[in-house]
Amino acid sequence: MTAIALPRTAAGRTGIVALGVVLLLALVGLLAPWLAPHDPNEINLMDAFQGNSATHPLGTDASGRDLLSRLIWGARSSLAGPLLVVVLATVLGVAIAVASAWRGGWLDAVVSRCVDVLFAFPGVLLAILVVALFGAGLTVAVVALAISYVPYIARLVRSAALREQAQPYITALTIQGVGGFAICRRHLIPNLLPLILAQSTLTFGYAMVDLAAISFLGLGVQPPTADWGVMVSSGQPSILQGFPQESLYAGALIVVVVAAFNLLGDRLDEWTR
Amino acid sequence: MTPILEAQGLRKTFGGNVAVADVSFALARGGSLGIVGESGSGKTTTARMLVGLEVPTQGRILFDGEPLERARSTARRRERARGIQMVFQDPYSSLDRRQTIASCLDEVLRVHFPMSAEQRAARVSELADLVGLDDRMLRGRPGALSGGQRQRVAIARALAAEPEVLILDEAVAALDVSIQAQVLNLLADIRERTSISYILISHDLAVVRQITEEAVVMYQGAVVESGPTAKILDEPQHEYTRRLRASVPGPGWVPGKALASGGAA
Repeated sequence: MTAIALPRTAAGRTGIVALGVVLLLALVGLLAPWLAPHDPNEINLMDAFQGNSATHPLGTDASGRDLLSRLIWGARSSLAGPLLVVVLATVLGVAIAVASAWRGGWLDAVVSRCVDVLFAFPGVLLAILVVALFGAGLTVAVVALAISYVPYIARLVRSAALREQAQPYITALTIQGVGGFAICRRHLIPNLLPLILAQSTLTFGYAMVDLAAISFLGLGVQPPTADWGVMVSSGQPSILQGFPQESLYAGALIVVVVAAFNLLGDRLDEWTR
Repeated sequence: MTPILEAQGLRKTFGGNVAVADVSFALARGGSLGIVGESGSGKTTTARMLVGLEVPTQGRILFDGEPLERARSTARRRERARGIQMVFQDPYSSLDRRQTIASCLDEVLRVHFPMSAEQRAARVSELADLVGLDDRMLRGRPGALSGGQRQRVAIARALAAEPEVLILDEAVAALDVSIQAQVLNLLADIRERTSISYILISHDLAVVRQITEEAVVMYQGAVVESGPTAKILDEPQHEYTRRLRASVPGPGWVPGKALASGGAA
């Protein structure tokens, strides 16, 4: 393992705070059934647009649903969605990058051109195209976004892999007669992990914004499921009626999580360098 | 007796550039051969051809009298690995920084021999003993070791496959002079005990003199002189060897004087 020294600088401490925020919100999402004071989907039109109160600490939305409960339950899809995007994109991106860097030759040439072509598609546009083909929903949006992030990860990891595999220790393993697959799995990829981790963390932030945008457009998570992106969208008409809470709270949480992941990615990048 | 390793008219070109023009030599079983030359003389390319990292454009390499073919399959590469091994110049980048020394040696054993975990562990400590590493170092990662200790690890790793020929590519060049002497003594000891053969690639004539019996001098990709090491270094025949020898600072060498007489260095 790469030793990570405990940060003593101010910048280091913001990294710890960012990690704390992320872990806390993940925990909230996991414990939603126990933490949420109400059923997030329970409609009570008599209670619409309630202000802060003991029963509804953050008030209610246009259908009288408890906002706090919806935000707590929303943490699940809002965090799990980007996580799936990142895991899928990272696994695919690393596999493609390492294979093409290791093999070189025509495989590398073909993969690099495909990555270039994929780069030309904005992630959200690609997602909209795929949703148009396969229908709306979180799964489809996640897969489409993951594919659109593969080029970013693949390009970075490929150039790092090229640098790493030129190191004498890799040559030594080749001379020892260790197979290419074993060298990549046991030596090359583990040595690239710090970089991969930092990049994945940064990607999480982008994925979260993009997924929220897709849900906002009504192509991702479907109402009435609680999701922060959906809440920003469904809170729109209420803003005009003078009740901005729903969009505001959900939007604020997205900002906080994205900022936390960006900070964390930056710090990870520094610590593991 | 057949030489254990023989190069016949090796040539390697990269595009239009000739890295190695014409190299022939024979390494006796249990012998030690020095390849001497300045940077860019083709020493390292020759070494890379010997271990199969490069394919010669012309010429052939005989191992124990049999020509070595290009090793395409992993099985063939392993076979070759058990014949010829190599120690690299830079002890800092030739070990995986994430791997403990013990697991680094263990990995080589796992690749080459059908041994149980206990047998491998025993062999790892045997190898560590051979190169003078203790148990604490075995459990550590390369980051905890000095340059000389790392080079001992690299030697142990190369010996793990029990090769008949060990190629030392500037293997002591990156070490302090005193550590150099230790490692050279170690190499001499190992040769006495195991009857392994060495090819020592170096630009350092003192190092070549210390552990080789035969030497070839390379200049611009070709062998310009060959024979017993002592004879080559004491009575150089080729102009280049004479210049190489004269460029080594000896006793009585005064830096100021050299600068004054040689003009701008």
